[in-house]
Amino acid sequence: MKRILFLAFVITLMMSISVTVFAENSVTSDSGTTIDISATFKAGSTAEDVISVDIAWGAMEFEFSEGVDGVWDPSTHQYMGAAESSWSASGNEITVTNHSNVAIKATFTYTGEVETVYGTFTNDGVLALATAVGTARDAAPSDSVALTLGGSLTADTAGKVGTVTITIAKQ
Amino acid sequence: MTITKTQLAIIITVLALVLIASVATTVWVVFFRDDGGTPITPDYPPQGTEQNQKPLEGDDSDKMESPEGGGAINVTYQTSVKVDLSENKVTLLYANPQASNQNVAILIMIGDLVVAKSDLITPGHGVDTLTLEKQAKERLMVGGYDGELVVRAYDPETNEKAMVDAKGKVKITIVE
Repeated sequence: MKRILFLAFVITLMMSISVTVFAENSVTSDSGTTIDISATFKAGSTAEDVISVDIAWGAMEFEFSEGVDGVWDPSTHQYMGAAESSWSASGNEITVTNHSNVAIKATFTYTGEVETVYGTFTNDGVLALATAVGTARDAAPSDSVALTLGGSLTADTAGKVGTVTITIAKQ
Repeated sequence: MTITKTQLAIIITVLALVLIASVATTVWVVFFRDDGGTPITPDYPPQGTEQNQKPLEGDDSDKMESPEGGGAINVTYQTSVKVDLSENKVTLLYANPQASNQNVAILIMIGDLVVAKSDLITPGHGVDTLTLEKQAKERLMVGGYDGELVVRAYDPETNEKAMVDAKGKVKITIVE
């Protein structure tokens, strides 16, 4: 009997003790009960890289002039009117304008279809263009390279001599 | 158990045939099997208009100026490409805005493997879906690949391929 009374006393004592709990995301109401506040997390989205570039090129017309020996002039011991072989170009510029949301690098490669002809570019064939973020559309980062052909051509190999490939990569 | 001369001859013949078949298979795989190879620019470019092209909403861009005899294209794309093997579908975003004065055809490549290719995309249009190439379906596995988007421009009047091509890196995700 004593044990039962002692047990009842202990339970009563425990229930009468008030405990204050400091917990985040909980609010104590006036009546002293706690309300759990739950919140869910919705991940934000980051803008995906969008590559957008304008590429403009000229007529890409090239002319190879074969060298001429000229006419031997006995009085001067020189060839008169002699000329070295040479190339001339028209519309050989390629312009790249960046409208992307990232900075880009444009690399230019010439692939020849005639073995004796090679191509080189100004700016070492590389353009680094800043991101268009924060710029007006008509003030987008832009730059150009010019293609120059070298080597030799014959009447048989004249025609389409090669192509230019522009590789766009995020910087 | 003893093996008769006849049985021995049969065994040797079978083993020889197996050996010959193995050598022949190896030679075929190494020298003759069609593994896709390096893509070759067609002499006769795509003539048809891409069936999956859609008008670009809100695209009222002015035509770009290009030097006389030249051309101008705008190349716009997202760098992520998804390939669904079960649906034979390649999901991407490529736009050839009104500003371009050339038609374009695009290819999605992984190394030398053509994953998808389009017919001509005319200015003011874009694609978000292409059909997965059969050979790519047989060779690709679920996962991620570094790939390339290749853009080839064609004169809209003569259909002549421009001297200038463009390409860019894309991340290709393969799912089932």
